[in-house]
Amino acid sequence: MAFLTAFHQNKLAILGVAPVILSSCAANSSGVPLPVVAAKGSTMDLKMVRQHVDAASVANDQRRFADSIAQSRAAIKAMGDTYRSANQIDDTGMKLTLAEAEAAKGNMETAAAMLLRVAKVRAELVQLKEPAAR
Amino acid sequence: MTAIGSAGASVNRPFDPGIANAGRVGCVFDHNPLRPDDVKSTLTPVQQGEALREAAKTKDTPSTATDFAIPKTPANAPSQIRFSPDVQKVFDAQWNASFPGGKSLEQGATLTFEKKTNTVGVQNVGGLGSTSGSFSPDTTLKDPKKDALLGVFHTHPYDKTEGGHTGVSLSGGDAAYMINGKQNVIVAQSGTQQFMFMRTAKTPASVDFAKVDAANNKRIGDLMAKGDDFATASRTAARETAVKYNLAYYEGANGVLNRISPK
Repeated sequence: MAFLTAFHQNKLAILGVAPVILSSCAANSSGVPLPVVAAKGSTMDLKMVRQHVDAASVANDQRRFADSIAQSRAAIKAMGDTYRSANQIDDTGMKLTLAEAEAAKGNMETAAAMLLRVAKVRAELVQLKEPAAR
Repeated sequence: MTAIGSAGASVNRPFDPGIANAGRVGCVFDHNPLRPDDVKSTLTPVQQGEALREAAKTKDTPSTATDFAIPKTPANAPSQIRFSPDVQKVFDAQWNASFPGGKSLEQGATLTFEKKTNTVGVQNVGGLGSTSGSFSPDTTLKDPKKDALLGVFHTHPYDKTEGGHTGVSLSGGDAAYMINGKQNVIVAQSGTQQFMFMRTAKTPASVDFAKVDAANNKRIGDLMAKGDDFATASRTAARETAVKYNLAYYEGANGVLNRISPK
């Protein structure tokens, strides 16, 4: 994990997430891992969210459900309520509640899939609110 | 958001036929043939409105805009709401469209009424977009001179990867959207089951969206931890949220919804 900046490692530590190499930014055209550069502002926060979502997706595909859950939770936590709009009916909280209940029951595959879905949906809603963050 | 009621009424106001809420923020619905002013009676305006509401109803008659008027209290809300077969067809079609490719995708539409006839209808099917857990209603009326806004209908789909749950009731977010959006009702369909919140004169004018949603979700989580299934927990939480915010709460199917809270 030497390619991660100290700042980013610290961010991940705050979120309680083990850093992983992310599929979408793991390598440049030469195959050399690229550093994830964190910066101030919502755009960079959204980048971090995307990285968590991507990592969750990869972990889910590899059936590493605990990792996937951790990454999705980190993405959801990072977004907070920023995805919400007054003119939108938001039921993602109910899906999140169900996902966490499934995790508590040990149904990790269902929980991982649902948490990933919530994280993706909320990230999509953040993008809709902040087109500049695309 | 769209204007409701009398000419010149401002936007974002709940529909209020003046039966129960004289002086309250809200539009006076001047197309209501059952308006107390039109009736010679010694009854109070509230009594007149409720008596007329009941008298106008027969077993299979669809509810009209009058039935969706803001009641004084939850206990004054109609005991039953019936959507017409045409509206119900739209609800069912929206539910059937909620799993494209096997993945959940909320659907919905805007509930309106025709000012001249009081007939309840549906517009803007599909709204402005949706995700598996959200719906963005389009509340811009096609003809504001002819129609007025009542609220929003939407679906609560859970696909197989999410457990395939049905009978999932309204969320805290649904309640907050309706309250803050100054709408009269919000309806959800999950499988064949349908749910509705109706605002009352006792309902707060606005609420903290995050707080309402979080409290409702926490209650669902707590109930599930005690052994309730998700759908049952959602219904209990919705009923309790209704009590907390002085909403009337309905459950039903096939367009016929009965008031569950208050009993």
